[in-house]
Amino acid sequence: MKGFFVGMMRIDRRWIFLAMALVVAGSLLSDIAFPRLEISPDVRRAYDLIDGLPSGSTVLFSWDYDPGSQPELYPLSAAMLRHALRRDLRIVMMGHWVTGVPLIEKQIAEVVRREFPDKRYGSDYVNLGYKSGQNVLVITMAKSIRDAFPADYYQTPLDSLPLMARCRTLRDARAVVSFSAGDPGLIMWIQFAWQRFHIPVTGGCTAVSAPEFSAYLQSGQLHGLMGGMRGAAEYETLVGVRGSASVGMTAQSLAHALIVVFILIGNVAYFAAGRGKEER
Amino acid sequence: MKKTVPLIITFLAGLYMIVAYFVPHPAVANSAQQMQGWEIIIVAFTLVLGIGNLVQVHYGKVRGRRPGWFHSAALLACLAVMAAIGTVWGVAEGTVYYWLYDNVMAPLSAAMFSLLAFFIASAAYRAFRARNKEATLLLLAAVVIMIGRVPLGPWLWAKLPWVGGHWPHALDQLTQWVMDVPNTAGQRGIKIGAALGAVSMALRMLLGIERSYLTTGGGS
Repeated sequence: MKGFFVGMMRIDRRWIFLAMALVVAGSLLSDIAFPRLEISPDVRRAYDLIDGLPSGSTVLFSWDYDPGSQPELYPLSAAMLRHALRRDLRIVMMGHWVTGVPLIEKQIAEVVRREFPDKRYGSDYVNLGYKSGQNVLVITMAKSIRDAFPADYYQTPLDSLPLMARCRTLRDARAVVSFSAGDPGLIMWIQFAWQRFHIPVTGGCTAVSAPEFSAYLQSGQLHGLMGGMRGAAEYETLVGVRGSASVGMTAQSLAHALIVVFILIGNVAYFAAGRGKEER
Repeated sequence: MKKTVPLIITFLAGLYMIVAYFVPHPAVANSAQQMQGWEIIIVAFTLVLGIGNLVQVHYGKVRGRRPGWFHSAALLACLAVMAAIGTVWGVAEGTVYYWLYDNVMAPLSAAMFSLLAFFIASAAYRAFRARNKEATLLLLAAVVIMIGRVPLGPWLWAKLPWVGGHWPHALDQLTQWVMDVPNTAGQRGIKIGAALGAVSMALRMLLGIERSYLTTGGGS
């Protein structure tokens, strides 16, 4: 029997990979759904911030991620963009990650133009694109957006865009929303937009980086947070859309359960094989 | 002289930015803003430097036919093709660049990131052991978070015969407590430590004690 457990501990990792692939693929292809999705206070706070802004207010959306984090952050940014447009907010879009800027284009095509055809570029939303500089860029934008971005992503001078006539500095934005996969991202916006210029900051991040924001949430420096696909699914629930995050929650649930099962099997095998006793 | 001039420039520029933060006078604020504009331009040039470095390293690998040289050749080819296509036809939606980005780069990047699920599963099976009290605590916290943060956990919890009926939100509350109390305490410690380290590093650079940015050598 001990030999069996020793064998279990040395199992070829490709079996583990296969089990994970089957669970994820199977749950994505099936229509199983777990009914209960509680809205966490952090997501509610982010939703309330956007929901509480007067119609016509300007909000800055920053896409601070690249395609690697797209499965987690794209549904999140889509849900929040949808909410902001429904609330008739004016959106200034930009990104701190050069490889992530085409994702703004994608979101404009898939969310703005498809679902809100009455929204006009230049007066309802503007895409500034990417500019290097990170925190210095934010400080410069707080003094003059034109100094930081003389033209938008399509090389149109900002002076010819009606929205930018009303939004001359970052301080004219009522909130900053960052979809962040690392640095530069949400932490940088908190440190500069909120801490220095007192512009409320909210947004979303990958699930793996969510724990590092808890200190900012508790101190009130961050006005709500959507952590990973779960956060996106909660926001989709609030907005009333069953998007890819809600669909992906089953796969994520089962993948997590599988990892927990692996941990349990690994520990049972570890102690049954007598390793625990040897190490002590 | 080769080191003294950059050290003086660093000291004066750093000191001026500190002064500008506390002095709102237009003369100081405007010149500081001008300097920040320069910084944006300098940061943009680091991209060029990065591309130059990338080409140098991988071209050397291809030229020397070192192991894995064909991966380097593929990287250089992709770099050249994407740069040429983007420069000639633009990068906006509907262009060839955008199509390649959306259909090649985005799926490949997402696939790389998704490999994490497989490696985490394998690592959890092999290394997550209750070897001692600390490891057991870590293991329990991980299990609570992994199950409590997905809809499956509360759903299963509610179905438990006795505890589910008496304390239906206990798993949610426990998950939130782990995130809010032990996690936040640890994160605060890390952040305070990192911030103090950043302040001391900035001071060392301003005072010319830390010189590693001047050469490839170490500190003072």
